[in-house]
Amino acid sequence: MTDRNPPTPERWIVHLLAPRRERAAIEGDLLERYRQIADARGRRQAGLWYASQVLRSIVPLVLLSASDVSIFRWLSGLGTGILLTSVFPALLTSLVPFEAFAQGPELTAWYLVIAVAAAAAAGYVGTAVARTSAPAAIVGMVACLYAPAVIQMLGAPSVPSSYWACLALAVGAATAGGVLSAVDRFSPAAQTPRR
Amino acid sequence: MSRDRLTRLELIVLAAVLRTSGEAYGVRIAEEIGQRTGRDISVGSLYRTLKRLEQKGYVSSEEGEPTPERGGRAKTFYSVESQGLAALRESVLEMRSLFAGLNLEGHSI
Repeated sequence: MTDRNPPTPERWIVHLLAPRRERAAIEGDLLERYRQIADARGRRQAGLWYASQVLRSIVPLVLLSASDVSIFRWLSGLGTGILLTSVFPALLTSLVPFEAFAQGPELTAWYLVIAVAAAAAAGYVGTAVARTSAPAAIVGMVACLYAPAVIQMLGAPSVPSSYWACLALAVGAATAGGVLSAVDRFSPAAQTPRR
Repeated sequence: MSRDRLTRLELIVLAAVLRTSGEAYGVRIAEEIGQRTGRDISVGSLYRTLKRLEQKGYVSSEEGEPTPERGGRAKTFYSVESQGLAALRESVLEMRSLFAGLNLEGHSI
């Protein structure tokens, strides 16, 4: 059977950015129109249309999300997210076993596994706590908070920079995975009745 | 009575909601705007504008039934409230007054 759904990355962007109250309507509208275009002009054209809609909707959807909750709730959620996600980069930087990394790949692999698991957990918990606020803002904040930790690590002795590049990539991906899981788990928009 | 001035986009969306009365949900409203004005409005801009209009009390919304072609998601139908109608009328009267007797043929716009 032909897949009649838009590309997954774009769908996730919409899911992440759209405010909870409007999410089902927005996703439903985009899907309905995507399928109409796919039937009439093919999936490629429909995919281009969908991508263009998503790109042009990023700013309005972020503004819409921000206006959906009170400023106090938005800030408290953001603050909680910052606090939680600050802890992980701090630990990541302070607990790095530089000497062990230089000795061989086994400890490096273990460190990587633990770091990735912790990153996914941090993303999940941070977003779950701040779910009513602005999950998209949390994602951006997490990315910004990792930057200083990774930059600091680049100057570390006797550790190849490729290690840090892999670590940053894995940790970033794991955090995003955790964030998206939390959004999906805690914001089942399709089942959320409007009031 | 003085009320919030409608922005150009608000005016367009409000008129489109009125024109598609009874079936005014996102896709239909965007189609109407596209057909009438040639604008390809993004879904984000549309819903942000609808939200502003709703907050001003110019439109109200109601959730429909979930449908399979929308992946089981419900449509949100919008309708124009009396305040919205009054605001729309006020804007149209302003425009008419502004352009009354003006010959645009000789002017480059």
